[in-house]
Amino acid sequence: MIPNIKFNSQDNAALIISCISAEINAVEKELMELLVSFGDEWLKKKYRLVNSKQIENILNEPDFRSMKFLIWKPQNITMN
Amino acid sequence: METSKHHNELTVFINNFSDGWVTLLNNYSIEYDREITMATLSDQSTVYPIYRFYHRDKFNERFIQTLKEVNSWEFYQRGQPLSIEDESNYNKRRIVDRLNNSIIENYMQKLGFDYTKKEFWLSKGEAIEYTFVLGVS
Repeated sequence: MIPNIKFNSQDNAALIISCISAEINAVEKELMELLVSFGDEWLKKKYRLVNSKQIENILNEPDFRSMKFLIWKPQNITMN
Repeated sequence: METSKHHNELTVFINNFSDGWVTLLNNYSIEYDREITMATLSDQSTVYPIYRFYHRDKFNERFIQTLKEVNSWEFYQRGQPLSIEDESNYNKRRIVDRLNNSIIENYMQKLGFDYTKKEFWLSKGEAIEYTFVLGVS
């Protein structure tokens, strides 16, 4: 199973993992373009190294307080 | 249906929204022609668990889901099955056996997304955290 991630974040207790088959710099640029087109220019970005504990903290922060998302390139990309 | 298993590049997206912000990712996939795969997993102890596998690329949109409603389990699928799927799962008598954490994990591993390894949850280089506060514009 998933190491070090508690499932019981918020009320739905589901963990949703999304994988985008693209390089992180491209995803960063494109997502920002898309969000700006939605009118979400007030989004703040922060760059940092992350681990499973920090990811769990984001998952467990209620979305009514502040909406957050995180993108990262994992260390174990499978090269098929 | 064959799907690309070449992940020279991979970006993981995770958020604190209860729906995983599916609409954003769908829009993103369509707008920028990006292949996206989503795994929705539930804790075994949850009263109303939901298990969902979703894959979208330029050729196909595949959606498989089992969930528990108040009195029953529901199973739903649409789109062409991917080559990594075991379709015999979907004929099983117990609906929860058709798609669950274990089956999703297997599909994701076959696609090269092995989230069972701790390295998956460690960023290779800097990650990017996006935050916005509700009501501020």
